[in-house]
Amino acid sequence: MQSTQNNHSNIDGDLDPGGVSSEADVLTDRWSVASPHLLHWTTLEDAHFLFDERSGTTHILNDISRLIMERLIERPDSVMHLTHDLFGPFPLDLSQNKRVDDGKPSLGLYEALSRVRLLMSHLDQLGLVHPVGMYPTPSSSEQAATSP
Amino acid sequence: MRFQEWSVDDLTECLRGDGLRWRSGPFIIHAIADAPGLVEPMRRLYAYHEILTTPYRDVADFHLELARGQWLRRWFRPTIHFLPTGRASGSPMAPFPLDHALPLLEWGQNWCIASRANHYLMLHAGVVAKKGKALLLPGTPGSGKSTLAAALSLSGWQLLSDEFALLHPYSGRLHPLARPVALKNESIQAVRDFSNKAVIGPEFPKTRKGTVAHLRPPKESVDLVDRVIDPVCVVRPVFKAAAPTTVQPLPKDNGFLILARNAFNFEMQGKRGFRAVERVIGKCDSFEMVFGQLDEAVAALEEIFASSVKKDCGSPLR
Repeated sequence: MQSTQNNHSNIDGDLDPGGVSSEADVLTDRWSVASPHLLHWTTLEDAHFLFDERSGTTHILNDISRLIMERLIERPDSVMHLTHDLFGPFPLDLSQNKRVDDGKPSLGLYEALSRVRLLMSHLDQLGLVHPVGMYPTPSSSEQAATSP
Repeated sequence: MRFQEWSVDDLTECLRGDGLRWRSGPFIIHAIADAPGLVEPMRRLYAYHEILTTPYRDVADFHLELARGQWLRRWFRPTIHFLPTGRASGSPMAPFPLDHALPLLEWGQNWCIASRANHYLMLHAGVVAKKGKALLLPGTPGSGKSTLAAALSLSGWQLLSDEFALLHPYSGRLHPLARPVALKNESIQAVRDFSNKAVIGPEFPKTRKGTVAHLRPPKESVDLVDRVIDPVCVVRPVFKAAAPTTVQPLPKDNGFLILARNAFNFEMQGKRGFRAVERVIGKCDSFEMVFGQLDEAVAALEEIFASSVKKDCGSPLR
């Protein structure tokens, strides 16, 4: 897919990630879609067109970006969870028994994580998603429950 | 009464006085002009356009004035200036030589429409129609859309526009804007060679777009000014000198991009512009046509269009 005009952008997985914050934050932070009611979609053949009413910008999204956006419109989620949910059933993941003994992710999952993280950073740069903080940890939940 | 029914003297007097009002598609233009050499070609090119008198005397969508340069510029290399009324900062365009008043009038009207007719989604496209269906020819300058629109209008098609496709964003229909077709450089002779019915005005050399001349729109097209039309086919022309004519179907996502990128006010239209383009592309076939010969291109467009109309008429989703 190509784009030559400023007001049309192209989301694809093979672009420079640009200004991503720390890897840990990006993977574990939850992300949400900003003002989903101001986003308008159409799918023509293989391309998903997204018009953002706030900026007057039309974006062209691939299938994975569209899936991510749809998931984040349903509820905020992290890159880690999204990757697991989106790529879980695919052959190149943990279910392929490629997990190494030291507990590091398999090559397939690592690639998937990188791709989703890259896409998330693009969506962030375009102002379509924004971080809404980490999942509450058990310790923080306990603290909240016991605090006066 | 039409322009051709007025004498040059009467038109000149009117233009220099209170101005002339005429219908140009859905718009009423009001122009005041003091430019020698303007009236005669204007009378020929706008021959079939209706001049509006009472009760339209005070009504117009666009008021514009062509005024002669002041002081030294009245005598030394005299100039003519485009002054749309209601604009605080004077002319939006550089002055033209005095003998280029006609191109200035045409580009001035383009400026008025492009900057103010935002109730339409305005596409940079030629539009012609046949059998109650329209063919859109979106393209950048030099792609051949005006030349093709001119040639098709000389082949029995209704000319809606050579420059502006006025798409109503809610109805998805195209509004005619049959004005003189601006031909540039080699396309002037190409259209002359294509049809001996072509009535072409004087040539204006050394404009910002090279040599420019205008083709008179057919009477039938001017008379059908109120007939809005559904688009059925989008063809992006690509002119390549001496290239054989080739036509390639485009996927709908490409069609969407072509229309959106060739819309003057896509962002301004917002959601309704987005939905309007979606609607047009959803129901139209999209193609790209590379061409180098006008007669070959016209034959190819006839074929594409006939096939699209047939498909459209057979569709249960009409």
